[in-house]
Amino acid sequence: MTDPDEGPGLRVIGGAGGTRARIETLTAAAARAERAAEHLDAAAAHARRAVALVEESAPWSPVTAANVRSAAAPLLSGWGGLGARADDARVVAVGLRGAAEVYSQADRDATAALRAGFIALGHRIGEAGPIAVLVVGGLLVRGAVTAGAAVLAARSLRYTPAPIGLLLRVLGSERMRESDGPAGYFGRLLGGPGLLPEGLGPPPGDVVEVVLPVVAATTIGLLPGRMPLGRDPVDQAARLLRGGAAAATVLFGTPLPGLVVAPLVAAERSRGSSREPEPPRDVADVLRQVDALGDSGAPGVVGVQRLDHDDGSRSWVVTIPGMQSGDLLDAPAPTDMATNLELMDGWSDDMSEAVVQAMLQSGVGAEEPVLLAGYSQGGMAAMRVAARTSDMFAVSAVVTAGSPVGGMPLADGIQALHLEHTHDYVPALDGMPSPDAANRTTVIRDLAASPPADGSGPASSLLARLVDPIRRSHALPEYIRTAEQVAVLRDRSVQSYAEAVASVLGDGTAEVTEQRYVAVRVPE
Amino acid sequence: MAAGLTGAERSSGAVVDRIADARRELLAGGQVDWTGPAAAAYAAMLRDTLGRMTGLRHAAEGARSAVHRHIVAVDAVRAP
Repeated sequence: MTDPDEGPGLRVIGGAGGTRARIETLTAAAARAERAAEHLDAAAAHARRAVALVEESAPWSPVTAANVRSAAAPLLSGWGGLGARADDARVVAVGLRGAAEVYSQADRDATAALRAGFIALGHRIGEAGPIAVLVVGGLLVRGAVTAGAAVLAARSLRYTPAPIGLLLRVLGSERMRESDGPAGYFGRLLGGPGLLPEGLGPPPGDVVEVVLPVVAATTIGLLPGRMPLGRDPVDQAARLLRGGAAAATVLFGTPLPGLVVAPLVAAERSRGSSREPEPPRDVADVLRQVDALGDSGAPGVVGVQRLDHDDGSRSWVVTIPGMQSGDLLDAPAPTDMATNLELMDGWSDDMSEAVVQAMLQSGVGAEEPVLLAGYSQGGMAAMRVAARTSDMFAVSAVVTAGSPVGGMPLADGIQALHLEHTHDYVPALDGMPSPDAANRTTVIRDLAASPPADGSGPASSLLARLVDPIRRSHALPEYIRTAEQVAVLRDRSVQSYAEAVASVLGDGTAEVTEQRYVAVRVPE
Repeated sequence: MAAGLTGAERSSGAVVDRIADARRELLAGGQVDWTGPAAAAYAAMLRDTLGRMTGLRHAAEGARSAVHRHIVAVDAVRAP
């Protein structure tokens, strides 16, 4: 459910204000309290030693020795002295560790166990053969149809002058619809005008995130021979598919193992653009630059901006487009489906390689902060580059829009913002939930909470209600609008990320030098 | 000054230093961005502990002065 403090239809997961960061902070505070207890214990030992040494010389000056005894008494008191305060600090530490454990329990919810169970079940069904898959699939479809028919029948019976009609009207009343839990769910299913429930629409992306690994596991189980299930069935299926596509390229196409990355200087000048590019001020500006890569007139174009700041420092913004062709076999432009599969299964891919080459050709220095931004497939490439070039570049921040990056690793020192939309299925294609890490903030926007970015009116027909959210959800203009909304959020995770971005973009007065590079696969 | 009394002076100084170290650790641990009833209880407990430690620090400084005065007195009596 959307938190009203987070913004219109926005939900924030992870980051500096996320559960994982909170657990880490609490654990660190507990460790400090334990160290404080150790210091106090040591102080008590020193106090005892000082008094004991003074006692040895007490016969020489009994009055001053008594004064020492008296002055040290509060320190050595059993109920209010140093030992008691050390115990207090230990109690504080235990309380903090307990709170961290409560958050950890909430974090380790049943979802992960259920996911693993469904994946194993899907694999078993697949291994049982096509007939078992058809039977289970048929049962699921039949169950869904029966449930849908039952809802329609119940909504039709609501206005009958009979006890059942009265009961259904009560169950679908406004009061029930507004309540939480199962009662509210049934209220929303039965209440409201018309024959169809108001909230009827396509399933959200997190449903796809759960279903996809099960489908992948079933498909792997269906393959001839006994294929053991890997740790991540979606990655495994992507690897198998990419292997098949590579074999098909050899048989039916032209293998293009080489990659050429060249500057697009001539193309830029021929467009007659004499205007200096504006320095990007925030994430929305950076995503607008990703969108502008489409104006280059060629697929596989990567943008590199050099920002020279007033204080003499230099930083870089690298923009990476999304998938531009659905080709599975080798094609000249690396922004294709084959690259998607390689990015998902962890193989080396041409688009990440193209980005690295573009950065090297631009002269990005090892100490100069870099912001990597990518849309859809470009977000995956940005994450891959950030993870693999820690010894070459100083990547400070990554922004991804509509990218399936939940399972992709990222070093602790790099801040990432992942923008997703509730009904965008692309970020769910890796079958992994959004990571809750201190350096990774995911903002999920429900597009139903605001009108479309293209200004079109609300959908009226059932088909439009089903298709419209999906159509809008993966559009880059909608992600730019999401970034605009995120920029004004007063959320700790978002603000922490914004600080990392500001360390690259500066105050918006930098001198900008822009260069685009085109990547093309070639025969070796 | 006798060796034992040198140790007493050093130990009485260490008490003050260690209390300061403990206070610093607790203050740093108090910078937790955490809300809710448990956080309020933690903040109250921390405030109380730090308040009591302020009293202990004053006591430790008093004890250090008392040890110093004792050493001066003993030296004066023992002096030929």
